[in-house]
Amino acid sequence: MIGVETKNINDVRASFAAVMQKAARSSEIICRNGKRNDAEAVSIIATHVLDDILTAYTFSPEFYQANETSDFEVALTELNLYAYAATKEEAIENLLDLAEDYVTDFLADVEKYLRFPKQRKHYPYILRLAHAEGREAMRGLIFNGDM
Amino acid sequence: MGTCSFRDFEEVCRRLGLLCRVTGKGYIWEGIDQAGNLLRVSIHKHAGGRDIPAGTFHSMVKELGFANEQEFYRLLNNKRKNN
Repeated sequence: MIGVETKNINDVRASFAAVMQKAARSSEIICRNGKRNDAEAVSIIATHVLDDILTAYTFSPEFYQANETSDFEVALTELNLYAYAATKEEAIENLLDLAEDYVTDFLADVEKYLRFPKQRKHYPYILRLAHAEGREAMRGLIFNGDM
Repeated sequence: MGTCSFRDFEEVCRRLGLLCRVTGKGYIWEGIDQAGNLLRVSIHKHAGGRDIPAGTFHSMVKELGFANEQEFYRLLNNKRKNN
């Protein structure tokens, strides 16, 4: 790694307040649990920096209107979620409900979901939604004014 | 490409060995297929009992690991014959 500070877990433990302060000033610090290069590692990074990184993961909801039933359909392919309802607004609300359920499920059992390649790709999107402050913020992230 | 009844969709999920969880907001069908993939399909509770429109149905068929809707209906019809 180039230019990233790496510390042993014992050093981090001994100076945790200083490590936190440094991370809060936007530096990433890698904490290793062991001396080998392949030892378990954790990045300590400021939440606002993580949020900035996650902005690369954008949502592109797709809307359709079914010919047969006249239902409005909305697909969120980034998370493989699909909703339909009699009105577009109701379909959006239903999709937000399903997204909240998925975020809750995923974070409650993150190790399970990360074992599967397809769901692993969902993780940054899940984190982005999890960091949204409330349903309206989540709505803004997913639909970005496309409502 | 056509619609699918909610009941038929549930029947195929059962046939695939998926388990259904009911949350406050909907039904989540989840399980692992023979290739080791996690299959997960969620349907909002307000949609329960209504026909699944064509576009959503097509996407959900893919989520269940079928190549196309014919494969989905082949499994459904086999089940019916076996009943």
